[in-house]
Amino acid sequence: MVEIFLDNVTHIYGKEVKALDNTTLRIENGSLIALLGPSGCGKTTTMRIIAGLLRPTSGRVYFDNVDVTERSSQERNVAMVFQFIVIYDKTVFENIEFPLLVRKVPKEERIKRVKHAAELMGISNVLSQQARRLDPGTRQKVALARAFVRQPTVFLLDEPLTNVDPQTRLELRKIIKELQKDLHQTMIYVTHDQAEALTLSEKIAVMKDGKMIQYDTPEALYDKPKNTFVAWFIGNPGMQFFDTSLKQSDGAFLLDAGEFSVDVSNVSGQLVKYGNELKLGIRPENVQVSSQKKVGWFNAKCTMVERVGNMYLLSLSKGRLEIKAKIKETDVREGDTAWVQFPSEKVRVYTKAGELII
Amino acid sequence: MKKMSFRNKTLFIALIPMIYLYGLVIYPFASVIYYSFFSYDIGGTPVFNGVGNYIQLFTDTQFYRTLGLTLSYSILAVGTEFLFGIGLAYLLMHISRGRSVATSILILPLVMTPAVAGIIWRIMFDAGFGHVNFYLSLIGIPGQKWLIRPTEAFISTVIVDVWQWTPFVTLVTFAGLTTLPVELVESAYIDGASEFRTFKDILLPRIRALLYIILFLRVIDTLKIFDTVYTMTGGGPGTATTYMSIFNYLNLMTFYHIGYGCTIAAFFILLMNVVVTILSKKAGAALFAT
Amino acid sequence: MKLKTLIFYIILAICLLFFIYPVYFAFNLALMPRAAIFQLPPNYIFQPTLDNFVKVINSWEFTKYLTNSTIVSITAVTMSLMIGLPATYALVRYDIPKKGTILSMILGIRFLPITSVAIPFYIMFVSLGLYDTLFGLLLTYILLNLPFIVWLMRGYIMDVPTELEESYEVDGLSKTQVFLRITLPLVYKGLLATVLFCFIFTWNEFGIALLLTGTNARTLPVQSLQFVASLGLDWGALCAAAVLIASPMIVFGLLIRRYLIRGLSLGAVR
Repeated sequence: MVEIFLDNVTHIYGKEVKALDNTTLRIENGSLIALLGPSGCGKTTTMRIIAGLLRPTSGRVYFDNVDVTERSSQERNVAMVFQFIVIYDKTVFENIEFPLLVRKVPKEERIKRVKHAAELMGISNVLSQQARRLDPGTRQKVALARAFVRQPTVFLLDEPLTNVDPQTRLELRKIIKELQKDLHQTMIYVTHDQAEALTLSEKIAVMKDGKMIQYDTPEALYDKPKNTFVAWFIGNPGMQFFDTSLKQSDGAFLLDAGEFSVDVSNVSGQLVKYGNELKLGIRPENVQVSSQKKVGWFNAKCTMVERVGNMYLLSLSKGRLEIKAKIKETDVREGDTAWVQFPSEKVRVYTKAGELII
Repeated sequence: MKKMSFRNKTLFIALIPMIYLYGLVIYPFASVIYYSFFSYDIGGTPVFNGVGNYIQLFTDTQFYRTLGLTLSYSILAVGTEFLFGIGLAYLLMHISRGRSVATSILILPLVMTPAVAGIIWRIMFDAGFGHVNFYLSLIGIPGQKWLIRPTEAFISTVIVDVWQWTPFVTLVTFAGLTTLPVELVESAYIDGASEFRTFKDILLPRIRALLYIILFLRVIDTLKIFDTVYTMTGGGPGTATTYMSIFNYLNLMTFYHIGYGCTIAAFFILLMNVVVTILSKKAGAALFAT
Repeated sequence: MKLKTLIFYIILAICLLFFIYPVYFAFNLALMPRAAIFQLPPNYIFQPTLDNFVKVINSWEFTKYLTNSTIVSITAVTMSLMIGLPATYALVRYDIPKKGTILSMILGIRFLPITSVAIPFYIMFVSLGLYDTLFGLLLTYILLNLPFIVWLMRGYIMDVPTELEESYEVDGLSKTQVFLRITLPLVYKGLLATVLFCFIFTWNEFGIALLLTGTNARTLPVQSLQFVASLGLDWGALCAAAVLIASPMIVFGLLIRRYLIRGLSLGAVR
């Protein structure tokens, strides 16, 4: 139940591998945040530094304004659940009891707390069984119970649901969310599964190459991604980009992608100072497509229609450019000519380097 | 004409050697049991003796003495090897640099010809000039008449066994431990367990099967110990270190009682079978699983 | 370095001294001139001499027994491989009735007390005229090596994916060809280790050789016993003999360090 603050933490493995590069992160007390990013982005390293398994090459770690960088995991009272389901060769009860046993908690209280934790996880009925013989889903529940029974300062979960069957996965997601809400527990969740991160967490830290790119609520990440990487990474599929140049024509400012242009006169003032070459981004979900010709829309040829879940993913080509659109219903068929529009409020403009302008 | 299916033919060829195996194993078994009922000395002729040999065996005080010695030897040696061996494995786990040097040194006792080891230790245990007494005197323990007095001789054989086989326990345990996932240790660390506790309550239970196998192999081997003891003490002084194998050998080769020798052998083989059966439930299952 | 780690290192070092001392001791005495041997405290520095080695090599037909050991070891291991490898392969890949029993029987050979089982061999060999012959010794050693070969190679063969073999079969290779040209090359490392391991075991073998040989087919370990009788207090020579007999094994052992454990535990540790 603490606030965690990472101050300029850098970590280098061996001589060269920079796993974390000057990362600063503040996690509010009682919040569930996710660390999201492609493999190798540094999320597990961050996790382990917070846990106390790793001492950062430079930078400090604070729990509630107390510098814990030099302290062991035990002293920080963190709990960690791993992707590899860790179970000791004992009964379920003894597994959950272990941390309490180590801390010499008196027997009566131990029994009480273990039973409580088991109940929360829904595993009270297997307390006397050998934990290693149970199925992965149940075993991970045991691991969670063991982590929880200690009333830790922070709960660290490193892709805990990867090795669990889908059914239990949903169950566990619910349990984790509830636990966090009811107990106001600070939780950090590492995952490479966007959907999980988006549904579970209050805030997400998107990381890449050891740097924290953006730390925001899911909505903000979706709507206003700070750079092209985040924009592309979030979403299924992510945002698409077109290289454009800022042009002036008949008094209006246009972003010209070659095959089509978008009017940006109303924000031209903000754009001008970033030079001529800008990137235009729009999410496939926001692209408007119609089989009827509409004013101001441009035409494109539909090359493919795929069904994705309950939506259609259309591939439209105009000249050398390809546009993807994801819409619920359409009467556009493959080979048809369709009319496309990018609603201006959904358009995002990025610098050539990838930073968000509007 | 129909060709024999290739599968059957190659299988057949591959397993023919097994017949050699059966023959060479079954024949001795049958033979030993057969002759155990005979009174037969080398150079003489076998005379059927019914269970006469067996009666002789079970009324032979030396037999019981031997049995007792063998069991004590086994328990003492294996016990020490386990404690010492696992302890060393613990040490190895907690150091980072010298591991390959340590493992190289540790295999030396294992590959040394047991018979030769017996000879070397024989020299070292010499009461007058042996180095064992010398080093003991350095730490204040007076020299013992190692190979001269019965109890000391017994202990010296145990020491040699411990010397030769503790590395086995250590290296196998260590190998098993290194295959365990690192998250196991990390989780225990986060849970707050000390290094020792982690070792005892988390890691060792995980390699329980392996430990059974080690135990199993060591017990079997100590019960039939022969090489080192024979070259070091020859079974003496007197019969102080005459373990089952040596007892069997002496009756056969020194006293030339083949019949009686077979009786002993039959009993011994039966004993080993029983021990193997009892112990193999846990160990064998683990072996077959690999 | 933490104090605890330092203590660990010290204890470990002391234990390692214990394990290495007899080996060092043997080498030491083997190189010592006669006069220096019986001195206490032991001479750590002295003028090394090869006299002891010369004496041993020249005495008691050392070369003959060396040859015996070498021939027997190499041949036994080779033949045992030729029998054992196809058998192991069959036992791994095929569903043979009573497979478990067969494997147990093979394993059981290792658990037999040698002196007991050697008796009927003794009787049989005497009547067949095989006593004190290399051939007789060979027959027994081939048998004794089988458990190791089966249980060691079993693991390595199991590591070769059946799909690989099957795809070659589908392409037209016969099962024997697959075994010889595909599977075996893939397990050559394990094979090498097994060979060296079996060699060490056979070379070091004492009990059977003692029982089944006289002066003709005797092997080195048995001869070492003879040395004790004949050299008595000549510890220098005795140690030289010890060194000569055990050194090849030490070399091999160090070579197959990593595989040794697998061998000794009969494949229990991968």
